[in-house]
Amino acid sequence: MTVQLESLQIDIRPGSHAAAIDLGQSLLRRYWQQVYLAWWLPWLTLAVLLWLCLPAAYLGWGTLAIWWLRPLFDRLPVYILSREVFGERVTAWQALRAWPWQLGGWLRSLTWWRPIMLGRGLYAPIWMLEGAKGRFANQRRRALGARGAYGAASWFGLACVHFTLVLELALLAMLGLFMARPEEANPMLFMIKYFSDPATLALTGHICYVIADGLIGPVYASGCFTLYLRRRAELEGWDIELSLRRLAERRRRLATLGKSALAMLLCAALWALPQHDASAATCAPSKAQLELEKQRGPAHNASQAALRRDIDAVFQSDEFRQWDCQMTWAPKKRPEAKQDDEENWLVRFLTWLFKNRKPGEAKDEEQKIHDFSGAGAVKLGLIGVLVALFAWLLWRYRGPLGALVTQRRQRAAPPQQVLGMDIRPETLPEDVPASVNRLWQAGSRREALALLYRATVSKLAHDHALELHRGDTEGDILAASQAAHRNGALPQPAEAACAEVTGVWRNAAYAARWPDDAQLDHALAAWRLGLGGGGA
Amino acid sequence: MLDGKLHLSTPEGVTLALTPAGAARRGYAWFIDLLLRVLLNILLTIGLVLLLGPTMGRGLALVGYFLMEWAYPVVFEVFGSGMTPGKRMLGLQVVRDDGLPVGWRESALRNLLRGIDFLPMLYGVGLVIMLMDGNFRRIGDMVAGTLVVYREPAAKAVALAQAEPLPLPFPLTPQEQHALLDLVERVRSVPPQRQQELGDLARPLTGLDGEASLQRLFQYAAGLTGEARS
Repeated sequence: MTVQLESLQIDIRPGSHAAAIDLGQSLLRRYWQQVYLAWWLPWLTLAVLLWLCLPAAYLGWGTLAIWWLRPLFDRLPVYILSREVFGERVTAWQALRAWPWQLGGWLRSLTWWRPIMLGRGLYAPIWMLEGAKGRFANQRRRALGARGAYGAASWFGLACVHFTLVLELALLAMLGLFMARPEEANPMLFMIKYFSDPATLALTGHICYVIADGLIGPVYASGCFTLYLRRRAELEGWDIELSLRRLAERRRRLATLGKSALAMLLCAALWALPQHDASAATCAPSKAQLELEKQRGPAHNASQAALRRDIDAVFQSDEFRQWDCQMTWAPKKRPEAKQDDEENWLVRFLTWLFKNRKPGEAKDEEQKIHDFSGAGAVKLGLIGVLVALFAWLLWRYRGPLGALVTQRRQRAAPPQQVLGMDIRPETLPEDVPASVNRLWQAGSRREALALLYRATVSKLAHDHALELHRGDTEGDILAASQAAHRNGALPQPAEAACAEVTGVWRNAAYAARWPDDAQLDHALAAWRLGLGGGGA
Repeated sequence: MLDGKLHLSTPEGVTLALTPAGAARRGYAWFIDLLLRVLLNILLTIGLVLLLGPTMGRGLALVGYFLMEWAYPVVFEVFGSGMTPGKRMLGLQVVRDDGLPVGWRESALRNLLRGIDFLPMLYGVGLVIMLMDGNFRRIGDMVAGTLVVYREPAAKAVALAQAEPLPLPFPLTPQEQHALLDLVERVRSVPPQRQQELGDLARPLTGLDGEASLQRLFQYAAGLTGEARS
């Protein structure tokens, strides 16, 4: 394996072995599609073949055999990840085609202790990727397994064995849970029920093992592979080399930058020299022009040919020329469209959905029908689902949404008292002006005017939603009503009534200048007009 | 670049890197805690039965089992800065996903949801979710907003080789200075042949080859740290 450190996709700075193993899981998560596909194709085939070929009573041996062959399957994730980690794309199919050559030491790897060797994943890349054999391979193993790396790999292998076991038991327990009656909910039920039936137990055991180890196998292989990478990077100082290379690269760029700065200075000096006029540059006539000339028949005689030459000459002149030559700068290399986008299944699906008709293609009825039956139906279905989802979301969250809409209208309740006067609407008499008149006629003038003013403030606060505070004075209320009128929140008659009543009340209460009957009648009329309408 | 870490930025502009711990390591920690709990339960039962007689003792022991199952992780996580004894032994720590220590709320939530993760048997759901999640969280961690991370061991200062300090030939960025110091600390741990190669690679910086280039790098490093005095 040639090592191209610049294209390495993972961070290989030294760290703990456990973190290195966990990095394998992150790597696997990134390339899980290829890895699991490559693993599951032969894995499932083998499992099904064993189930078909072996008599029911011997299926347990088949499970043992597939477990025995697992070191061979470990090669597939290592093959894919060891290339992907250096930025080389590998499909599951490529990995499967390379698999027979990766089996290399298959005889050796099937020696009886190999599947039991828990840390084998750390050593697998030594001959798979480095091609080391014999004594040299032993040396490599010792070097890589030193400093507790082999121990870490073994512990990880042990954990993976248990993970497989956990998943197997979990699958069996799930069967048991579904078989149990609701009131007993016993995860062990399956095993209890079929304990006396070895054939069923062997078949379910086989299925559960194949699923569980098919999930955990790549996890083990990738974890050990990143441990191997980190260990090797640590031994050979890969990260040191990388940082040195980056440093050299920056140094080189700086140097070329200096050179180009010099070149730019030279260019600036050359700027003063006479330049070619870019628009005067000669270039081939445009395609349209050539087409036009092609359409002409051959000249009838010499004079027509001469005439044509003259016309062409005229059209060639700057005034009549229909095309324009311009020199512009264009980047030498255009950024290539990202390859990834095309590979993405979602992009491919959307392309299929929305671009299935090429622009130039004829759109006859048949084509339309064909389109409708395929992508069109899916499109309609998707749109329908979206609309339904949106409607459901609106319905589901109608409470909070309604609150959002009405929240603006809700505001703090008006105070119960302003200026020491009770302004609750229920404390006002039914017909305020009549009550005021009655009190006025009875001689209690102060009470009459107080009632009128209290009614005014109450109406403003409750019917016209004027924002008033407990400590507001008459002036504040008047100013508030004027401001509300300016904002359009308070109609003009109400504002006028407020102004008039406030004037009357102030004069009477603070200056003892009582209004005469006509003034009071006028104020009452204004009140009736502006505020007496029983609410806005 | 995959580095298996979670990078958090604080309002002060400091970047913290948390390294979430994988399922295997957490499994070991759980197993150690399990052994410890079983041991404590046995001791508790024996002690209570001897003290209070078989009936009363066993009754109280049942309460003890309950607490050992549900209160043990919460109490240790809250008062042991996110570490049960098993996690402490394996260098793991529970933190909130913003890097802060866990409180009662998070710890109680993540440990109560063990009930879900344990389904259908022996953490089957928890294991599958952990393998699928990018930060190795089980459902309890997701709900409580916690992570299990590696506790970073305190960095050991490595004594640099004695060398005559020299100024750098051209200014280096802070990252490059770090890389240079890192190199100087670790270069002696790689095989001698490889050391020569690395020395050759440093040629743009030192203008020298092999061992001489490495010596020059040591001098630059001494100039950076100001530690080595001749």
